Amino acid sequence: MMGAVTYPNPDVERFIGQHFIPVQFNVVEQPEVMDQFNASWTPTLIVQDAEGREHRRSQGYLDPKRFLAEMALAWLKDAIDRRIFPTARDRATEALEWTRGDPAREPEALYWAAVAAYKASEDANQLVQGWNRLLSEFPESEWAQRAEFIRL
Amino acid sequence: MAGENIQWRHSLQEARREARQQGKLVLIDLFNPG
Repeated sequence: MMGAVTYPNPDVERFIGQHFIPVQFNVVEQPEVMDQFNASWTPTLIVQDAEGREHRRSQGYLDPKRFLAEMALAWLKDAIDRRIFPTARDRATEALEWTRGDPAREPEALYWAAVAAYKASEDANQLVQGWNRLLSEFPESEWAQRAEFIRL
Repeated sequence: MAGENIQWRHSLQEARREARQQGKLVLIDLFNPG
């Protein structure tokens, strides 16, 4: 289904072309890749940097919108993990656009956007403002729970 | 199994080398064609 529905999507093709080198393994022809990547199910999508450090993993079918949200979060998380926060702040803007309306992923984008804004500016108010927005808009989300201590 | 315009690689090392040269990430797709 990813091959039939998700990958032909023009936005998906464009986003992959801009930010990723895609590599595909047929697990029937190469069953050893399941152990190589510690995977247990297909489809499994793994985003690594050029040094092999993993920044995000997804299991199960993703339609184009959810795929783009996942990839935008992976692109953002790479910059967060490497602690390049001005870059992360820029990527967070893009991630917020691609995750908008996705109840599973928009809260995560808001969480990391606040972290990136704070670390890039060294202004703690950026973190408080961003997380307060998260707590207001997605109070029941797991990511809000990770931020709710700021209201204690 | 993929979008016609996506140029899938089949070597992880090659993908990593290209990613390093182009400042991109590597997207690995493990799929079952069945």
